Amino acid sequence: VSGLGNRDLWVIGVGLHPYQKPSDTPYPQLGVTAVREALADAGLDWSQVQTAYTGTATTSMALSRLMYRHLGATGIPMLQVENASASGSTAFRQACIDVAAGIHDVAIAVGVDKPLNLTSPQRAAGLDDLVGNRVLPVTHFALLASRYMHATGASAEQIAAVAVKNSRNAALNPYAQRPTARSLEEVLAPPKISGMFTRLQCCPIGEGAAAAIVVSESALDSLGLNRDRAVRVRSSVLRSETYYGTANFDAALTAETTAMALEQAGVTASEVDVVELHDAFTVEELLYVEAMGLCEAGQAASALAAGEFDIGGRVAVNTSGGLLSMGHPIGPTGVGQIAELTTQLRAEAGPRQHPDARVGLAHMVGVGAVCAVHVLSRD
Amino acid sequence: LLNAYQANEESIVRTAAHPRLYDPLMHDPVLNGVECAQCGHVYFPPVGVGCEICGAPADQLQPKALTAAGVVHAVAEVHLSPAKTPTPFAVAEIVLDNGPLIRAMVHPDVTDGLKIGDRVSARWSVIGHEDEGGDVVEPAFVRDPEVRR
Repeated sequence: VSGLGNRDLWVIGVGLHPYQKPSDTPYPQLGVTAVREALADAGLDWSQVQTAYTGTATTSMALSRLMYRHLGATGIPMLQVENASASGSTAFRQACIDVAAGIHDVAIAVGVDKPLNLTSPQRAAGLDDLVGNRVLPVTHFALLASRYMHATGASAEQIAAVAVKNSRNAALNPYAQRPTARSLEEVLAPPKISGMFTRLQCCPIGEGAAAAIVVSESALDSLGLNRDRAVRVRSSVLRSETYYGTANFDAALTAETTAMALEQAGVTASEVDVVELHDAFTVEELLYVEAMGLCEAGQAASALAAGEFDIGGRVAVNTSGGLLSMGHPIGPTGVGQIAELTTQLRAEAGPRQHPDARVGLAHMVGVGAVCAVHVLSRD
Repeated sequence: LLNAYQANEESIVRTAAHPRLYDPLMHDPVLNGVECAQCGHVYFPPVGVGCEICGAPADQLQPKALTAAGVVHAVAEVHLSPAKTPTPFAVAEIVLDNGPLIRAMVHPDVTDGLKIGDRVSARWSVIGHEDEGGDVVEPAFVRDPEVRR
């Protein structure tokens, strides 16, 4: 039913290297830190990991082995998974598919990146439009924000409030790149970047790493792993853009991908307790909670203001701080969402714990466009 | 053709900033779109490899001139640009009368900003000069004069 076949899949260990501004730290150091933390969390040794999928998009070709060798060269299959901002989510999905197919019983998904090599698929494809290289991705979302405000009547201040909430969550997350809680005045302060967006309404692109270990049901028993801390993978869906006319394609793609993931997981939107979603820019969170069916169309701004998406609210959104405040190092981001949901569903999130979190949903979109959604739950 | 002829008569020398996307010698900007002969979908910017809607091959994608006129769908100012273009400037998404949703520059002469729902059309905007003295131009959108009844 999960879309992954009939085998039960479990996340048994997660780990992170803090997301941070680009530094001199080599990427193997970032990645190995996250892997060692995930192994310790799972109670596994590297020699028990049978295959590795590395989500990465901005560092270098062929980076996996130069990282994993520092854990002991065991000869396991390893490869890079690139899917833009959804690279980490897609690496996690590949690890799930691998275990679900019965190829291996212990797979690790790792996201690692440093912003060394940012590329443009539009440029590579020889695509040219009337605006060309004069705008950054932020303007795409600034256009979208103008449309959202026009369609819903939401104000710039109501949209900026997303960054206030997510910065408050990140202040409780030791892995966050922007760990400071911000007031609305701070979020709205210059510099303006594009449209309604100020700097603090745009995610920081930095570096970091995240790891998640996926195991089969039989591995849980044969390796003597702690079932009480295992989080079930209930569904994994990856979709790509089709033609939506003048409708916003990020939101339309999110709506159809989420609907499939919820159906395959056997849960409804109202049963979701914690959500990690792609809030690269503030307006996206409002668009996507509506597209996911977590609130009525056009009502996200008022639901946010009423605290419905707070930790302790109706459904907690971006308890990690999201891309806006935890950061968006690209490859790690989707795996980091799985780490946050796993921590929440185990009730181990400490001061940022959402009470009684049972069902979690992770969502990333990637330029192109693609969308990945995973549903996890505690049993 | 008539427009091109008029342009020649005016002895205007213009170069396109994006040669594939429009003919700079036309009197008013016209956009080089394509139409899929198999499913009828209209594209701008033009695509050449195959149709996104029906998968028809390149030989089914036929040139179609698109009048640069339509309605503003979204608009945003740009304060931070990776190019040398002086900021701020504005870009807009426009639903052309021929169908496609395009992204384009708002004309620098528009000082009060375009609004969603405004009817607009393109005029030439000079964004540079060739060494030989000609203007480098692109289409940029202005609000249509309001028709008073």
